[in-house]
Amino acid sequence: MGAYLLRRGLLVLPVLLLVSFIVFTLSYHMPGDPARLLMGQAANEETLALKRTELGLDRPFAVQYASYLAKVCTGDLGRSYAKKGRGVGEIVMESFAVTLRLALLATLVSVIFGVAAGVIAAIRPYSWWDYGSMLLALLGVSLPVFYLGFLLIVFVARNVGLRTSGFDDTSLWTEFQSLLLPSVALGALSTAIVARLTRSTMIESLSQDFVRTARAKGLSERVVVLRHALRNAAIPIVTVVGANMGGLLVGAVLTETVFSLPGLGREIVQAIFQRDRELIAGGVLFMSAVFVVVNLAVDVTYAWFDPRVRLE
Amino acid sequence: MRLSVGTLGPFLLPLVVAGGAVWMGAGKERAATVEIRARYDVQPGTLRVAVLANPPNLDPVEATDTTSAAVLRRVCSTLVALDDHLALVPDIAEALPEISADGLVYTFRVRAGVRFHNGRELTAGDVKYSFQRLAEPWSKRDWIIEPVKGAAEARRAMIERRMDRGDPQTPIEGIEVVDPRTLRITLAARQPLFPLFIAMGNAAIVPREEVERLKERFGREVVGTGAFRLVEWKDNARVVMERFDGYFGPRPTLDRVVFSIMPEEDTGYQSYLAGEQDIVQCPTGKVSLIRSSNLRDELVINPLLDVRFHGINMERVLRGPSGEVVPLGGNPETADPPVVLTPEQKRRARALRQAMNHAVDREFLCNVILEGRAVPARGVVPPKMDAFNPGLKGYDFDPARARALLAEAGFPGGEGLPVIPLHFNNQGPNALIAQALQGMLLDVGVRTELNMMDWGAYQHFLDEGKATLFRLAWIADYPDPENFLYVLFHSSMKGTKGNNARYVNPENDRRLEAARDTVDPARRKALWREAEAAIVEDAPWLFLYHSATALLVKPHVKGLVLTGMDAGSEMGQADLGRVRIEPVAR
Repeated sequence: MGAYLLRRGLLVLPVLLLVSFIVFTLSYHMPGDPARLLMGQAANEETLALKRTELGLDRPFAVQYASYLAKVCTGDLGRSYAKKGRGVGEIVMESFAVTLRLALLATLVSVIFGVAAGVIAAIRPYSWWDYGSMLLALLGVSLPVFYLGFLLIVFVARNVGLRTSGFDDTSLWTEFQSLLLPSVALGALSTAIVARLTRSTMIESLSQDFVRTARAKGLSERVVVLRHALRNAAIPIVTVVGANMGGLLVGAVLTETVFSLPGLGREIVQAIFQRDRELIAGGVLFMSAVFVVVNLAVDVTYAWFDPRVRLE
Repeated sequence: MRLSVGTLGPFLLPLVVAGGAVWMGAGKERAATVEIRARYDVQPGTLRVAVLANPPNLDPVEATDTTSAAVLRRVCSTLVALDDHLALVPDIAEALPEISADGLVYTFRVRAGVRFHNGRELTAGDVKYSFQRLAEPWSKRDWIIEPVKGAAEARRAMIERRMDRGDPQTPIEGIEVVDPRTLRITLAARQPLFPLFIAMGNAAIVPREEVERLKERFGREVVGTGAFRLVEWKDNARVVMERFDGYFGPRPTLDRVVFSIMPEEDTGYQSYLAGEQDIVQCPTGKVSLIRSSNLRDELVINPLLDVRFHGINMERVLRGPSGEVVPLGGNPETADPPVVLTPEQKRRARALRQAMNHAVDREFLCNVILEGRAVPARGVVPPKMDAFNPGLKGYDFDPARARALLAEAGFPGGEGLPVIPLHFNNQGPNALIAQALQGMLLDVGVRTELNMMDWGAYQHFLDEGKATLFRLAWIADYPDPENFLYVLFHSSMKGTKGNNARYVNPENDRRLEAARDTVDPARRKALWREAEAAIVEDAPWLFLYHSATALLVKPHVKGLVLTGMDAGSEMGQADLGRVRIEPVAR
């Protein structure tokens, strides 16, 4: 297991190197002058030249990239051009904390509702329960997240008295309220996928010999379904949940925008508009690392669910 | 293959469901043309405002965006300021400055008992320090202090010695501390607008010890002498300001002002309806609905000191199918490389630009696309400014006249006229405006090709002088026609400094200079009007409209007075110190 983790960990490095190169190259060649965007319309050429020198933008691409990499290797993701006085690392960690909480809550929503809907549909196939759950799943897959988010604000938040948008982290309760509807909107697609997958794998699992054996042993239906069939069906579900978790982390930008949450996705999009190269590169690099780590974690959990899986 | 309902069912279902959801969502609003459900929750003593953008930097000398300016207006004070009528009034200064007979020396007397938020009393030395900061290498508004004797030299010296934050400043010769409460400023040349320049938030007075202690972080934790002090700023979430009890002016009624950062107008609007905000920007496309609803009394339309236009690059010519020159701009001889036109070609180019102006239905833009949030522009100067010329005719919507001028330009029915590229950035109603213009111009025979870009790329494109016909807007930095006519049309401002149309007219340059340097108000106004008329005649822009901010303000918000410089819900000029929250019985 240790050797496996080490090997996978080492493989992460070239991936991140490649990501950093691609992102840095793209942001370097993006039209628009960061100095001009920073200094505003009234800035004269002398001031702009000075700003370019201060930011190191007047150096050749290779030098800029090399110096960026050297900084990253020491754990310094650089400084934001646009957000004066703030390090990229500080901005990324602060905004990622919001995105992470949002993604975790969305994952929780997708697991609870997705698995429940899938199991109900599977144990009563072709019943109204089944059709109802799958119709909801279809809705979850079909509705774009920004639209669903807006529907939730208009029809749920305002009627139930929940906070419509914005982020209030003054207490755990207000924070939970701020994240509840966004997590439902963000987790809807994932919920639908999990529900449909759970249904199909559970139907297959429930028709297996070991389930018949369990029933023959006189175990209650609840135990048969939850302990035997569901555990057997869990591996593909975990795979999908894990993959979705990565997607939720990196794809929360629309949800963050609709609900006005200060997450990392929104931060990176703003950085792109402001040509804040170090923040773009740092944010994307960090997201990539998170994505890789989440996938590794998913692989590791296979062994827990299925003892036949050995990590070598 | 035959398609039956059964086959299409799975594909139709999402559409039906989504359509139903759209209908449900819209239905409420449709039915609510008379009744929109809204809550009126009140947080006593707190003004809650949804703003669209996160302030990037709150250091006065580095702030150039409207949200930062709005925060600074509340947290900091300036020597002189603008009142509700945008007239100059003393702020930290006891009175307006004494000005020497030659107009070069300004003497300010600082009020006693003005305290920074850190408790220290402000002196004339702090004013000198803060003004010198405007010349520091990272200052984005060095032009404010540029008229002062020795300012340009001091800035150059600080740049050349690669000054770092916290390093000692190079003193500016023209700023002299006479005693702890008296400051004398000597200008290098007469600049009657200097007091207006230093009324801008960028010239706010800040404490040296805090700037030196915080260095770059001063832009995150700004300390001033304003009615409110900054207590929290969470990026992309909120900015919280609390009443400063040591404020030298009248004690604010509000305890706190909270700016919630909500980039989507519709999200802010829903938050407003849910009773979570007291002031929001009315979303684009919702003004008509609000006007015909129970919320109509909460809608505030505030005309701005601005002008919206599509500039025509006066240094550009068009090229015909075989590369021949088709004149469009009036002064391509100032381009690099220059293109020299004959007087007849110049006359035809002007006729073409005038034809394009007559093709524009400004009433449609203002009343239909912008829902009455704008008035047609007959020229450059906005109606709320004293030099506004009500007698200026401008360009009526007159397609017949446009066609005649087009024929005069040598393109009857648009024949032989190449397609004109029209560039705009992807914000607000810009795309709708560009599409409408395309249709109006096509109607008289002028074909355009629309190109949409994001702001960063767009600005770069304009800077390089590559645009032919391009969208821009100008909002007043200070309430004077000079900020419109001189900055946008004097040849010395050509290119990135403001004159993006690259308009060069030596005769008009002289008028603009004379107007700028004239002190007598009547003579000054006449000169500005003359210069404006000449510009309109030359038609370096498609003059479009002067816009207004549309806000929704809850009835329990009292005492809010907006000015022509309060663009957006952040309200960069309004005195929030006088705003009260008074619950209304409903």
